[in-house]
Amino acid sequence: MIEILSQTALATVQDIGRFGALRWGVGTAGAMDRMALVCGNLLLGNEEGAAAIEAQVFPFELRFDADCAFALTGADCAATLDGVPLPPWSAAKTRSGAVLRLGLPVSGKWRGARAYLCVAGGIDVPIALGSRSTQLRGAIGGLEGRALKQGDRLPLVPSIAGSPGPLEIGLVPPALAMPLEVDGCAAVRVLPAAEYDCFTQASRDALWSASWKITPQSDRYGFRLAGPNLEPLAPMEMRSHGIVPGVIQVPHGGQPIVQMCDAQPSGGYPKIGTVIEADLWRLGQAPIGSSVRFIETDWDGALAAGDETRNWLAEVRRLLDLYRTRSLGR
Amino acid sequence: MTSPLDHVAEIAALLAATDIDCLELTGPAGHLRLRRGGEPEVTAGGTGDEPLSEDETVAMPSPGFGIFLRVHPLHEMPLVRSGDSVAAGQVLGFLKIGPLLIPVPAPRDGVVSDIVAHDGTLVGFGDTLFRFSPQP
Repeated sequence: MIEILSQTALATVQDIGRFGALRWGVGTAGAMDRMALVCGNLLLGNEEGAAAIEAQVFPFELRFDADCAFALTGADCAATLDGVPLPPWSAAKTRSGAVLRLGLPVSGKWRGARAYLCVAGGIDVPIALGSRSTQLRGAIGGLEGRALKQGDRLPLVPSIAGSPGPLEIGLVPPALAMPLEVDGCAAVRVLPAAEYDCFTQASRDALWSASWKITPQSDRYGFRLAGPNLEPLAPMEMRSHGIVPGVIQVPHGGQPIVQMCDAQPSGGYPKIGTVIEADLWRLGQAPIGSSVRFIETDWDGALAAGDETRNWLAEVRRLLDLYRTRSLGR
Repeated sequence: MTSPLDHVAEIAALLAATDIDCLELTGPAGHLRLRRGGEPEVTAGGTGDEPLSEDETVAMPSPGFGIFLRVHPLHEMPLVRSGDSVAAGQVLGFLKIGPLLIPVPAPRDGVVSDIVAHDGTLVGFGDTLFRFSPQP
């Protein structure tokens, strides 16, 4: 069991996401930074998509009510276990009764917005439509379909016999291993979307050249950005149609919205672009108040970016397996 | 099982046919170091731990192969500086192997008296990373 000690807000149980339910109008949900979730689970020898706690308001405090292993990834929150500092992006073992505290995200060489706590086995909440992810809009998945609150107790999946087991080591964060910046500003790659050509040339240029500030009206549903107004060549009225996380919509005001993990499955605003799936984790870690740049890419570029992250994870998996074999051989 | 110390000549002959320049073995029977062009060094009966020298510091050998880091890749400040008091298990540095970061913990309570290995350099198993004064 894990007990939430802090008066928390917006922390949820998330796994890799809920796929195959969009046709019923149920969005994917899932970790905003899937790379962080997968890395934490790989360190522990879990299934890669096992459920974890996603925290985004700090400080965040919890107590382990069992001896177990855990991994912390995502934002570096200067975590301590019973007051002893823990390195970021690493796994550790703990005793029953120990208190884990996450502080405010540190502004080091990379600043994230969301921290992930994976535990050996994973967080055991009921599976809804194939996933343990909390879907706040529909109030399904996670713990009673809601955000975690003080006093909540979360059961852990018993570690499966023969599972690889945890390693008390760390990883170089993927944001450092695969940096993506333009002029010192965090960047993500974007495909022009269906209505791209319906915007003025100046607006299309601004999409690629402006810094887009992430406003406080940004959450797991979507990020509202502030920057130059994006103007259509002629007013557009569209019927609602299917949309996915990553889609950049432009409402009448001209300030874009990027749909994120809790995006509704349909919408009617014109779409100027789509953040590629391989870069959604980067955007998912962009703090409110920071800026992002959009880099134009194409289909091949988007697939190559997906290959790059998959290859990096494959190398992590391979080296962890080697290290695990060597450690057990001692 | 026989001790490798009984087979130094055979091991040396096997090594001569490889690119390996140095082999160190530590076990209950003792400590063996074979170096290309050198004489075998054998310390029987020990665990390979260096005895306390006059200044009462011990060498902390690298637990493996990798790039030695004094600073976590996300941070600006080194984990420890010379003269810092540390607790058993406190992370003093990392060995970076590709994306993996292997922590190097303090073996016991004490003071880091010197940081021998240079940040960002490749170290091998057994290379001295720190000199350490254990708390009596």
